[in-house]
Amino acid sequence: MAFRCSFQKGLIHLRQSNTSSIRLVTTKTTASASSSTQKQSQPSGQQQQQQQRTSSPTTGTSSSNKTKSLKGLGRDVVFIDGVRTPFLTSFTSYKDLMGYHLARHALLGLIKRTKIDKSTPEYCVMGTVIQEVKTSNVAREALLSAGFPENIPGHTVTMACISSNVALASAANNIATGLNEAVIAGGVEYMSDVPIRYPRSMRKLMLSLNRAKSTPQRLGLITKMLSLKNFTPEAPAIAEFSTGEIMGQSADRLAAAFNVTRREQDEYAQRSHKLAQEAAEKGHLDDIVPMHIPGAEDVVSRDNGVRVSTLEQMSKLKPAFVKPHGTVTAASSSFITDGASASLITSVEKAKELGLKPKAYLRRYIFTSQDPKDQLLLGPTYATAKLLEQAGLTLNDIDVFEFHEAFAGQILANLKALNSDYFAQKYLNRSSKVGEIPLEKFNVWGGSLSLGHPFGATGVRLVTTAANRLIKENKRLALVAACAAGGQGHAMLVERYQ
Amino acid sequence: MNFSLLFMFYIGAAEFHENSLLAFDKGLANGVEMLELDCHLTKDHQVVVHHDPSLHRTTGHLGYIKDIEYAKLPAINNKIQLYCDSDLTISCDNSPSNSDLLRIPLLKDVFARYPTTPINIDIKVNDDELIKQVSDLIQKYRREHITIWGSFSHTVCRKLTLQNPRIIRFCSFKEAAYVVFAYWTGLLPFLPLTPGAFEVPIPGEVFQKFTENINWKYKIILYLAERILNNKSMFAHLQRRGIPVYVWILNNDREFQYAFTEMGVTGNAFVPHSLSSTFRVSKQKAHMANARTDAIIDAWKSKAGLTLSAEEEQKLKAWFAGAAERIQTRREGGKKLFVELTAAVESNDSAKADELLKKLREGFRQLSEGREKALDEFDNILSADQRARIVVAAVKQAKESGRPIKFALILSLVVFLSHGKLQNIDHLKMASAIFTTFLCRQQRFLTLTRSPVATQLWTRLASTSVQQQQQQTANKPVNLQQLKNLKVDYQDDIAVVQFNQENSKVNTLSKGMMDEFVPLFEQLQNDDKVKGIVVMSAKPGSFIAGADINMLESAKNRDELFKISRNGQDVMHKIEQSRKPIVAAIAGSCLGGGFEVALACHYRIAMNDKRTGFGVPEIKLGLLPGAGGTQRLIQKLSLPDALDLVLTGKEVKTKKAKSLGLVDAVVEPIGPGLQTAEEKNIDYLRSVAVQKAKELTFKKHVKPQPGLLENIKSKIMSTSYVQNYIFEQAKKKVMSQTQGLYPAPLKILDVIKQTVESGSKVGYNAEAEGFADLGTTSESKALISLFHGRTECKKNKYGKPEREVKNIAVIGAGLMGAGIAHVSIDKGFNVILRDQTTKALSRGYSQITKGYQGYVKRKRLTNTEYDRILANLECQTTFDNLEKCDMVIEAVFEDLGLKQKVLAEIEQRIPEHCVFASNTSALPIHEIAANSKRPEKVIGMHYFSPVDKMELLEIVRAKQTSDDTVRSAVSVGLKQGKVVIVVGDGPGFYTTRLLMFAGAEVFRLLQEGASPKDIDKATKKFGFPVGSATLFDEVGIDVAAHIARDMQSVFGERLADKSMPALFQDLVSNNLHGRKTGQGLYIYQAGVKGGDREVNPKFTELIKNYAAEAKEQVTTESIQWRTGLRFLNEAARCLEEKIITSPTDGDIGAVFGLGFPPMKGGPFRFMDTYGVSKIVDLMNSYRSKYGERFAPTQLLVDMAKEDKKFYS
Repeated sequence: MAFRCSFQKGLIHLRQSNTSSIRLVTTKTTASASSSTQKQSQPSGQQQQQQQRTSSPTTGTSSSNKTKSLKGLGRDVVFIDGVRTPFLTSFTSYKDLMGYHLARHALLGLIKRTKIDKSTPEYCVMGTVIQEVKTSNVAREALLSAGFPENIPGHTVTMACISSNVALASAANNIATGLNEAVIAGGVEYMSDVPIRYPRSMRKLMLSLNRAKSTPQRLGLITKMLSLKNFTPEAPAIAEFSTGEIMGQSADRLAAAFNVTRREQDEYAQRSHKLAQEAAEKGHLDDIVPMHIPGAEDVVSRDNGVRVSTLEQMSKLKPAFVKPHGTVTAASSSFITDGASASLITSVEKAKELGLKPKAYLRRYIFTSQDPKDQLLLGPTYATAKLLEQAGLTLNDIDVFEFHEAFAGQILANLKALNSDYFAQKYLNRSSKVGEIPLEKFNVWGGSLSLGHPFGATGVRLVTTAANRLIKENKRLALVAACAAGGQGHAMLVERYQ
Repeated sequence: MNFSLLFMFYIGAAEFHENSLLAFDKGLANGVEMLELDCHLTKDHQVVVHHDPSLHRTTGHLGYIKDIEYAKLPAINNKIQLYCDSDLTISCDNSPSNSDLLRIPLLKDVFARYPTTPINIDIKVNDDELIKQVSDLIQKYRREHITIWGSFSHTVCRKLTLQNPRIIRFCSFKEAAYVVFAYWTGLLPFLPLTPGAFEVPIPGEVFQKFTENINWKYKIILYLAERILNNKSMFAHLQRRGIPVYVWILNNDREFQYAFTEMGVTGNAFVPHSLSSTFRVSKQKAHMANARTDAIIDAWKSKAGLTLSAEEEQKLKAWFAGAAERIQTRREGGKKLFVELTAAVESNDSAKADELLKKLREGFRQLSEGREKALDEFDNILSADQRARIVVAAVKQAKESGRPIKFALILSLVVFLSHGKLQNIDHLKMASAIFTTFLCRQQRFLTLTRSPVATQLWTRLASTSVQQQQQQTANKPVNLQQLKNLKVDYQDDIAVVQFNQENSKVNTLSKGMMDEFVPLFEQLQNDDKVKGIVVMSAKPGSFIAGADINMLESAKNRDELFKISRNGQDVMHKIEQSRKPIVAAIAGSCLGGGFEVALACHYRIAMNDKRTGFGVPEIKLGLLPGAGGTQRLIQKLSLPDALDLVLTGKEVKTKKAKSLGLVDAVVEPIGPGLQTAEEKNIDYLRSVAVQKAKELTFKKHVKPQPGLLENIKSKIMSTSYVQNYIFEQAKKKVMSQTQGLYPAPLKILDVIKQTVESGSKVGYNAEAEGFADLGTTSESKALISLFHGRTECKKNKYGKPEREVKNIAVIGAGLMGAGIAHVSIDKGFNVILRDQTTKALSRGYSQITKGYQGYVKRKRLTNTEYDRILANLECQTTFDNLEKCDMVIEAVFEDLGLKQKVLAEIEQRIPEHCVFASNTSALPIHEIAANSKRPEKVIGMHYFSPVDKMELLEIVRAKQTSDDTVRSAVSVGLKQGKVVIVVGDGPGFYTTRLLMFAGAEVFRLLQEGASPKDIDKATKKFGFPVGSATLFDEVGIDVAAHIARDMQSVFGERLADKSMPALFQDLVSNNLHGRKTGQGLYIYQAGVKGGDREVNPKFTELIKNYAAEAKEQVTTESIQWRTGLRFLNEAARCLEEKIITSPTDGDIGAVFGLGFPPMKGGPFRFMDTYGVSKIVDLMNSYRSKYGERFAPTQLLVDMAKEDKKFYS
């Protein structure tokens, strides 16, 4: 116990001063890496292991060896497996459920897939964005309803579209610091039902009605309520609170700022749908756990938003947000989706102990943020640039890219930003551009545009897909990145476990 | 489009078969002015003209047109029955020579044969293809302007409007019923009407024939229906709304007379079923002309009270008949000429066109000669008195009916009165233009901008003389390859013109700009490769900020100003009339002339950013928007909105402009991408505008239809009663706000009123005249001088301080302290607001938040911005973090001891470089700094209350104050958005000193028995926003008492005698502190405002103890002069004593700090305008009556002697 405490202290200390020192180490080692891979400043058993692994001929990857700081802090964290419910367009088959039902199904599916005992996980973190007030800690409700032992705590996190990335990150932290050995990270979003409220003036009256003591007082309050304004409901704002702007508008402006044309967007959206359909047909999307819905005719086993249409059909659509001259349409935006995902994260030792074969290591990750108005959706660019720099990698080292597709225009703008010297110098504090991401490595099993985007659940899907792709494609290193409301971004390095 | 007085031709002429080309020929030869035909599609999709869908009646062939190919259609029989009267058969010989013309004609053949004859097409069947084909044909033959189409079926009608909204459409049966119903329920004036023309049946011979055999009950119903349908006042209403009324079917004299004289319809349709050869259209026309003449003369007799002898009446009638005949012949001649001219222009035969134009001009000359002759004759018939009566009655009638007075009418009336001598060349030009329009009404191309040929003709005609003039004056062509102020480039077939004024941060409509723009514009107009034009600015933050003020100032006289306005109007007119679509892409300020340019364009796209704003601020310079601004604003906006914009000169932001309808589309700014945000945004705006311009080249911009409510609103607004009410209210408001001292708002009201009453032709003229009138007023000159002064005082003349001020502490959270914090926190300063008690802090904090919440409410700020701005404010009772401050502004109570104490306390805590500024209105800065450790860092910053509204900041520089301290204070003041003047550290500095000198005289007057109300009235009449007596209550009598005592001890008798401080002291000790205690000179009660306040009886009582002898009757004038002269003299003295450094500073200080009437330009400008020597004389005369306090200062005496002015 004492050991663990001191270890943690040390870790905290390390974290506080980490960034600069890591960067220093990185640059030093990248310089020296070419001359000698064995000359390490901090030789450790695991790192040597890793070096050997990367240089072994069996991997067949093209990665370079300058990956010394690939390893995160603390213990190695492994990703055992991830599952998800089918992602359905809102108001379809899930329409009579509640959000925690989906989360529960994801948890049960994870247990079934990994074949672990329900008492194995020590903790559960889930992401969600639009909260159902009744189940505000949806992680705990899902655990309870899925019949997990009562001694497993769970908490819910939110960070807009990267909520489940935060869940993964905190699970990984817990493993790395040795707090836990096995943690479930997941996420859920249920948009078929959202809390619609009375306006503030009415809520104020209703709340004071509770505290009114006498009947005349109550009657007085009730008469005050009798105004049309008080009965006009308020839906949860889809606009950015700080700027008042709807994300679609921001995406449209972003596309314009990076000269992304309507045609390019339509083509990209078409690509996403095509690839998603192919992936489903080839059976790549085996992270889906089919779900039986009470009263339904058949099991739900596929995502229902994938729809390959022709460019001609797409070109007929009117702009959805910026009218009449905008370029973002319904076809090039991710749609409102219900769904949940879950994954099991453990330490290497625990995996061995349980006899599980992990799919991947969760290596470094980063959260970034920038201008929430004009660069709302440029998170992937900032996060990618910074993460690669910290890890001492370049885009060439990455074999698999899994980016969250909020809008086709957003993805293309990010790709252009990463490939722009001007942008790198002006905003990324770099001397030159990050580089061009080859599309053949990019979201080849579809993305949020086609599969759907349940805000709180997408992060785990991205990591699961990245891990599955690494295995299918026999590659080593994957980069996951996503943007989120509030002008935030996330990126994570996932390495195949062998 | 004006389709008045049309004779329509149904189906066929009397002698020939209906719907045959031969019949049309014949009808047109007989004077028919429009053809009416029905269309059908053949099997091979050709559009043919035929009445029935079946062929039976006309050809005897059993079958339908739609089943037979065009080539196989049978010829028309030589005997056919009239569809509406089967008893009648029209027959004629089908001789072989006619056979081609007796086929069922193709619509395109009809179009080709009668290129200029208006045609009414009735679509009887609901067939999309037919509608589309007809529409295409109409477009192809460029006949949109001379076509009316329609159908009985409402469904078809809707399709027609959808297909081509530009073609005027008859009402459907349903719509007609709707109109009639609305009329009889009284709702008609408030309802929107989509159809452009109205047609109803009128009971006539044919109808009677139809209804001969029906039951008597039906006869009654029919009779009632007829009465309901045919109502003269309904027709009149429709026509007033620009909807011509046509009736069918008329066939004989009696019916014609009934329709035109009794019902007053616009046109008719007739079926010449009567075969009598005596029946001729021309006869009907002549008949009608006579009827009209009679009606006119009757009206003159009854309405104008004209008494005419039988002989005179006879003569008049003869005159009218002669005139009608002459007009007829001219019209025929003109018609022919224009057909030839059109052909010549279309075939690019410029030699011929020139020749024809020459002929046309000659025609005009003859015409005006002929007209003069006719007018002379007219004059001979009636005496001048009689003619005048006619004019008065006509104008009166027009006003009563709410109809705009036809400019042509007025002009001709003016001509009558002036004995036909048109001196003004502009009038002549206008007259000829009007006549041209009139002459060509048949062909209509000149009134129609849509026809390219017409536009070309029109511009050529109208600009011939102007061009000649221009060529004479400025004979140097601008080299379009070397534009200095414009950039042009081409994107596909769209030309993008960017304003880029050289050597300037903003664009203005300067002479240089216009000199380049006009020829460039002409060139683009004539360049066939250019299909559309985008105008925008190359400068971020400024579209066009307005006209070039220097250009206005350099105008020597009224004529030049008039010319400037006219030129502006002409250019805007050219833009508006351009046949190529012009899109204005607006980012940045779009004000004055810039706004007028934008309004003239066909489509406006605006960037929704903070810098983009629209407005006509001319009124702030005592002018009016003189390049068509008043005219286009009232076209585009409702009257109250337009008046609001023009009379306040306020700036509206993009969102608001969109909701007002001033802007057609909004573009949200985008962020940085592969370029900077600024470049990116210009690019983005440009690409959106180019895309729109391309779209407009093939699709005309259709304004979204206003909703029912909007329509009702606009209908109500457009009634003359409501309009008059609006004008009255606006005038009342202007009078109450300006005391009638500003000519500009009144002139603007006048111009707009004239426009609304008499149409835009009068309006444009009135605008130019008004502009020239206003430009020569002293008020405008004063306001322009203030504008320059203000601009100057917004510049940093003193240079940058060594250290930029970032952190400010404000000591004292009272009204002033909180106000100073208020204007600082949103300018990038970190502000500490410090007071001794948390209560005082809370009050100050609430004052600030309340102010900012107001901005949020008015959408000047978003909630987030509000939160962020307030985050720059720290309220505290401690002295924490004072060591980080670069400037401390002290705003504690006005007490020397206290201020010294605060300074000592603060100095211990602030860093070496920190400036200590004292906000005081009169305490000497050097005394405050007396015990300071760093006296060079002490300065006075005199803010005015309320700080967030008053623009002036008086910076007081004491002797020991260092230059760098002054620089710091000035730069902070400018950053706070203030107009800054730096003054010397004399008693009362500059503003307070002037205030006290004028105030001393106010109190003297009160002592002499004047009532505070008299004083207020007189000073307000002079133009002060607040009366001088009330001002003391506002400032606080306790504060004034303090200052009065101090200043009296310095200035002695020159300020006032000893009774004044004593009187003040007495008032204060009786708790008359002014507004804050509820009583001062007046009594203050909640809900009682301004002039209704009562004079405080306590005050009246107290002042009796200090009564002074009145040397003369106190009049408004004497109050104004006595207080005014003291003010002026002291201002001059301040300049003399170098308290202020320039007359500009003095004027700005007095206007922005003390409310000196802006239209007088400030004390120094006023003295210049009025004459220094006159001022000195006046002073001397008062001096002899009231003693030395009226002695003019030496500077004034010297200046009067040398006849010098403050502003050279």
